[in-house]
Amino acid sequence: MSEKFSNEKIFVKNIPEFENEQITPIEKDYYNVIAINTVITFLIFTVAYFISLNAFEFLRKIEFKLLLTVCYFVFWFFLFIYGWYAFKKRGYCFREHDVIYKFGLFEETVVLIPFNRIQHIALHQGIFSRIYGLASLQFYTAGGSTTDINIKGFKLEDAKKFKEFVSNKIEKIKSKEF
Amino acid sequence: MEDIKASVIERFSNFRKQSALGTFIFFFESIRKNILNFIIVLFPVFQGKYTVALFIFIVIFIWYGSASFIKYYYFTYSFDFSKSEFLVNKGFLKKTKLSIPFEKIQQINLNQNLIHKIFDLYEIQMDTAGSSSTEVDIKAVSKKTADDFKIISQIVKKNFDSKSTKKNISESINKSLKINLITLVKAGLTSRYFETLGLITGTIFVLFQYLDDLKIDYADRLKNVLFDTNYTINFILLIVLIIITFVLTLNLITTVIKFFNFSAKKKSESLEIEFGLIKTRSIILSPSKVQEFRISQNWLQKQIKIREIRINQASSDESSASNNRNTIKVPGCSLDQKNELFEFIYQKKTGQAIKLKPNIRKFIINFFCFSLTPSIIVTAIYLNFPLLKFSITPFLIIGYLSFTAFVNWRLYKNNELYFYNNFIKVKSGFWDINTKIIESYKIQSVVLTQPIWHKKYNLGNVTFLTAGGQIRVSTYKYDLLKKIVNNVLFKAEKTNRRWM
Repeated sequence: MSEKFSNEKIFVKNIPEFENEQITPIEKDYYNVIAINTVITFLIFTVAYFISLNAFEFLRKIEFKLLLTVCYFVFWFFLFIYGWYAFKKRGYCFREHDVIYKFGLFEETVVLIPFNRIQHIALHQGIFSRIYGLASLQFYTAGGSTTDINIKGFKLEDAKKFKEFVSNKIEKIKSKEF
Repeated sequence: MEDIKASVIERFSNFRKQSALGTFIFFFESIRKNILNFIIVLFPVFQGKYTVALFIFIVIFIWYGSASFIKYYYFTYSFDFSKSEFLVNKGFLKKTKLSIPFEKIQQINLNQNLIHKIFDLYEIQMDTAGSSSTEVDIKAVSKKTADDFKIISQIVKKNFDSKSTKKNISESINKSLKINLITLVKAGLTSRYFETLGLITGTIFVLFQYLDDLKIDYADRLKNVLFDTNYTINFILLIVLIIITFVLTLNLITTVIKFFNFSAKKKSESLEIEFGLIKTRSIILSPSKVQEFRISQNWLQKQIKIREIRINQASSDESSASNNRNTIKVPGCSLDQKNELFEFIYQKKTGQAIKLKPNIRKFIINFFCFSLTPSIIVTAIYLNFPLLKFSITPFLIIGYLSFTAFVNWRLYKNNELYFYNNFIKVKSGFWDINTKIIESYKIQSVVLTQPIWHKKYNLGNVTFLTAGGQIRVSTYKYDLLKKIVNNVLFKAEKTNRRWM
């Protein structure tokens, strides 16, 4: 290594800033899917709750049964509220070179994945999503499953469009890579 | 050189078997793996039926023997140099055909276990990036073939790198890095205290479990021993001394055996690393596949000026990322050796940096959660319930509080983030100070998080993920982190270089 003098600047000026990008919120219809899923889980748990309250000896003996039941319903009430606000926090943005996904109510999270690091994309559609014509897009990288983001609640045609867009990008990048 | 290459290409273009002696390797390996099955033999022996035992023994022996032979016989491999692929056929009933593109081969390792040494054979490991099921090992080849593989690995790399000849190849320096026995002893005596201690504790628990399984009642006797002993200061000191000596000896022995005769030879485009006393490992590392460069040094090592280096390559699954064969360890490096290694891998120096420190709230929160709260809870129990009424309890609480406060303070003090033109570096740790360095353009993704209670303080966390290791810092100035993320993304998106 030659000891040549260099004085490069560390922060590059005038580069795009992700925090200024317009974040597109998730389709409103997707909240219905979340609500349906929550209601189904709620029903299953509630049935199980009442059955076990009467079936097990040690639970039958509890004196503060009413309090417990009230707490149980309050818990679910907050879960519903949480679901709504957490839903409102979700949003995405496709830029020229990367995809941004924002989510999280108590801990705001931003995941950024450059297109030239995406290994492949998958389009998923659940049962309830199909009713509303929605789909989700999952992006896989070599960085590990913790950050392989799964953006839910696209309109199906949008999802297909974005998938096409990103796939083309990746294809183009692959051909230039060395 | 070209002649040799041509002849190697010709020879390896046809499917070939492993060394016939490989049958023995397979045999010993399957015996080693299934050693527990041989316990069956013991039952008739206990009953005095020696002929039955002998019969069962022979059957098992023949079974594994023929299985090993079949395994050897149906395993063939070749290279398709025109298509740049490595091909494997294997399996007797369930036949498998594998083809692995050269560009997916990360490195080729030559290993020798004890059995290999007896027969003068080598094991060849092909580490691939991708799912672990496609990892292919050739269990037994002769010395000549092993040497040929060194040439092949160069061809494989050439083939892949031919697309990337743009980068200036530094004049083929044939210098080598060697670590002598004295340095190894030093490294062995100063590292891995906590790991070894944990390992010993784990072993003791397994032993107890084992005694339990055998229905040996040790609990009463242990209780008697524990309660009857006279705990004088001298006695406790002796116990501590014994434990320390044991840990040190164990570390020393394992380090010396594992890394004996460590040498790293620089070839024009790769690093040939060799080490091991009983089991010799030989690794050919290509710098472009390196994802993370980690230096670890504790207070003692700082005094004698040595450090341990870990080089992480892209790994297929993160669970084994820390301790699998994609990690290369260099015990006991000097500062010069470290710099040399770093510059060889990255072809450049780090340059100027912007240094960042975490906010004091990192310490306050950790202190509150892990020191204060548990202490208060235990104190409350101590004062109100007879559960923990021992004379020693208050001392333990004070001891715990001051120790964890010290640990948290060190963790806070040692945490530093450096942002360079081409690198990101993080320092952290309590005893072993780890310094992780990743090249900015090799990131796979970035995750920024901000808990709502840190919003008004403008604090946040960031994680940079690569294909082999990640860098995470928490409670830093969020604006600066965002700026760094923008710059790192810019680096990653601008380049056309592959990340491996």
